[in-house]
Amino acid sequence: MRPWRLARRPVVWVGGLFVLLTLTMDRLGPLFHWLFPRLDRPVYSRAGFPELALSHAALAGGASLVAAVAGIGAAVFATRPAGRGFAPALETAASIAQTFPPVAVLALAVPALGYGAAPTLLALVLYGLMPVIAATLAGLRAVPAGAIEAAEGSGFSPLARLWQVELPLAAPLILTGLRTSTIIGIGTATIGSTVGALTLGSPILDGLAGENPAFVLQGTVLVALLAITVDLAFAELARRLAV
Amino acid sequence: MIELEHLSRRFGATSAVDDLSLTIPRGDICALIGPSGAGKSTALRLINRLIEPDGGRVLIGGEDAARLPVVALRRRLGYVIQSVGLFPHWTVARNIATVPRLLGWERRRIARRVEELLALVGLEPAHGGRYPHQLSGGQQQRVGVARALAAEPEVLLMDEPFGAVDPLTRRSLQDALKDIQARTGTTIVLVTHDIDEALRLATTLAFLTGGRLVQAATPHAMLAAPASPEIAAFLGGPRLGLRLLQTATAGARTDFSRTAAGEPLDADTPLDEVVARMVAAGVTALPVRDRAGRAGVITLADVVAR
Amino acid sequence: MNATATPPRRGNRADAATAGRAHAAPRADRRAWDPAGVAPIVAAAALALAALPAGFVGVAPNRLVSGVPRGLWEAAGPGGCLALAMLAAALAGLALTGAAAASDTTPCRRQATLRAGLIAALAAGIVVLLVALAGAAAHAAVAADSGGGGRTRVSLGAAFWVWLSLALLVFAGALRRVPPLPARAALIAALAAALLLLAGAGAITDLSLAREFAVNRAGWVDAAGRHLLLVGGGLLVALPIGGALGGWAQVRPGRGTGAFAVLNLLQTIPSIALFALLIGPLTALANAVPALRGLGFGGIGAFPAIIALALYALLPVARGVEAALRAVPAAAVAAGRGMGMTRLQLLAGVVLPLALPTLLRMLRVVVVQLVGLAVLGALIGAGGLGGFIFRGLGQTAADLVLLGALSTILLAVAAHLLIGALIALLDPEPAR
Repeated sequence: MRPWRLARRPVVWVGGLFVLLTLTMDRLGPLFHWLFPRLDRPVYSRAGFPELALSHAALAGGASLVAAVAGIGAAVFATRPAGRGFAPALETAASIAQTFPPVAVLALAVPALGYGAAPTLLALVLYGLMPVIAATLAGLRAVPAGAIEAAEGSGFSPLARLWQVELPLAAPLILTGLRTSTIIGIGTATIGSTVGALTLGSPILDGLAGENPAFVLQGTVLVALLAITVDLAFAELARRLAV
Repeated sequence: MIELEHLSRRFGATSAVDDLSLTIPRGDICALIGPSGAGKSTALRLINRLIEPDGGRVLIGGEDAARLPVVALRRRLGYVIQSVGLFPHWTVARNIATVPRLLGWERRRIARRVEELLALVGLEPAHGGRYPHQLSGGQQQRVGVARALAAEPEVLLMDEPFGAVDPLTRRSLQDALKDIQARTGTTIVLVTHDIDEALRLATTLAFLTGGRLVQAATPHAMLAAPASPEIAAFLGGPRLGLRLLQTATAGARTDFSRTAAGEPLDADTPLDEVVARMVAAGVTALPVRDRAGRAGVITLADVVAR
Repeated sequence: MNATATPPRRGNRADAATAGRAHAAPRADRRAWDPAGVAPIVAAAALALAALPAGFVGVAPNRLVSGVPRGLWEAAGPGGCLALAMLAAALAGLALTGAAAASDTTPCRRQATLRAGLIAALAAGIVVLLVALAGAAAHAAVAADSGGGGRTRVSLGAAFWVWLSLALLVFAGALRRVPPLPARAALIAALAAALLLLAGAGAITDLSLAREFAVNRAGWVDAAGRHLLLVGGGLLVALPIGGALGGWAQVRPGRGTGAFAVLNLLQTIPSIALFALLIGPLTALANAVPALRGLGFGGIGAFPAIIALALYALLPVARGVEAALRAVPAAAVAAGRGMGMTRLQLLAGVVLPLALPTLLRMLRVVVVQLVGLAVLGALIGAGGLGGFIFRGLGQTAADLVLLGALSTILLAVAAHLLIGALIALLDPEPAR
């Protein structure tokens, strides 16, 4: 895809808006003062918005990356001959864990790890694992038996079969799992500010606690834009994968 | 008796059924044949008002179908479709009992009727308690026929009823249907792609193309004198003559003044089978015996004579 | 423990999947021990043993100081250790014979079911024993510290949580292989009853979690009720609207795409942001129309929470209804119409019964999701079980956090199980 065509994709627009707003939010004081004239401090100032956004992205992105690698790895292992004994346990764990509310998982990480970014990261990784595992298992199992047989018949090694046949065929489903996992991660990271992590949720929660709707609005708009950008990016990826 | 009078139905710019007039006498089996998109299914659905006509009318036993409440009309007309459409969450017995229950029959009468119908379509009483997915395709289609016959409908409408089963099963379903029709005298309107099925079952063929009726005649008459080259091609083109043999039986061509040696043929044997036997045996004449016990001889010349 | 080596049977996902893999690694000889089947048992045992040095309970002189961990031997004594070891050994033994039997070429289905049931019962026994031992340890610690004025706090340690999780995982995994619904329900009910009996008999009253519950009992009941109210309110709004949307999308395929895209966008926005976003407009609306205020309508409280929950539920509800309607065979509907069923008869007799299992599965997903999201209601003054979590986080009171989090998890799991039981009850022909 050429650059000028890429520029027409919504992901670029929304993402650009997100970056622009993040960089200029602290200069929008007059706007928020006009919107909420009764507030003394119309713009969140405990931390800069670029810092909040970076921290948020690092938390959610890092956790999603770990969850993706570990989740795909676990699911691949459980579908190999050596690891197939683990498949039932993994499936049970995934289906139980998906009934656990993300906030509860986040809260449970605090007694174990204390406050700050660490419990948020742990909760994000643990909670993000499950959609990836479930989707990868489903994807690998949906690979047509005929394709596997053909690969075996043409003399693929097990690794080559996995890499060239099974994973590419399972990719669309795995991608939906990664998308779910990442979007949940961004949402849960927002709440991570209740356990002391610095994220775009911080202005929202401080605003709710201090009855400052301007803070709430600033955090909300940015975090919503971030989530939508990532969602659109995944949609873009899925589209290219489908071609 | 069903009378279609100047029936028309358009879908957008295309005319699915165009000025169709056809009378189907009581007890007749009328097969609507023709190429895909000829309007056969539409014509059938106009009869039970799954589709409403733009013009013309349908008379069922002299009553205008458009004046009857649509639900009451459909309960008087049995309906069988290719995909059967059995209700998967009901047992076979419950499926067969659909229309009697809609009509509010009492429980014992329904149970008796279901038992009768299972026997009529050649299923075991034990099948009544099974679910549709536990039956084979042919058995499901038998249930479909039983369900359509449950409330003793005046007319049975069948839309490619046996299109989705294997040839052997289709053959046995056709025999069963013919047998049932002979016993119940139900008028049947049948849509089919399968010319052999039409010839085997129908007393009247109605050939449609582009929504218009081109020819309605007995199978023999249509084969003997197709009204258009399209019909001739549809009926078999150069092999049409072989199909013609299907429409007559040995008895009609037998010379009962002579006799010959050998195992006699039944007089009801269709002529195509007579030819097949002659070819197999390498002879041009075969002995025949009819139901009354009369003996005769049929020759190849008798078979091909018109 | 492991049924992966049974021969392929149609209609069983796990088995079908195994069949796919079986030819990838044909077993040349029949061994008594299938290494792939034994591996998870060994791994679970290793994890259980690795947790042994960690604290089974933590004892602190008061709420402000962090606890000193006490190991199992110290906390439960020789009797408790022996009982736990015996149960664990029995469980491992049973699982190993199961793995051996599974590699046999002629596995007996009934025997496998029975073994799975026994494994579930043993795992449940371990859960109950763990709780009882922790309760007893807490009782002993509190009794020993009679001079502390009852301020001694006994919390549950890392080893307890590891073993509890393992036992529950084994329990849940074994339950999946017990097909008869009454047996499954009985096992779950027995576990719940045993735990309630322990609590009722006062065996765990000295655990800090139980104390926290006792202190907050009235508030807990209120909060749980409030939580259910939020979930119920969200459903009440989302089901009709989402249902209509799903039905519309099914009748007019293609037209629903735009609406679904908007709903998908809503789902993407982090939940707390959506909750907070609603405060402004709803406050403005309540200010503009004061009459609404009398109805409890406003920017803060249950109202925005219910709206936000409903907005979240709309997409899964609409998708679920659409999928459920699509699952109804078109031929059955056509046949019903052709036989003279009225619209109502068709809907009540054919469409609804055939769509019901899918609809209930959708409902289960939505309810579980809403129970989790309703936690956030506490942040905008709507109350609910989230109140304990956020209050606990604010006061650094781990037990309060635990109380809120565990209550929410239990509520979600209970909803999942109850609706699951309903689905199993309503589906007379699981083979379909």
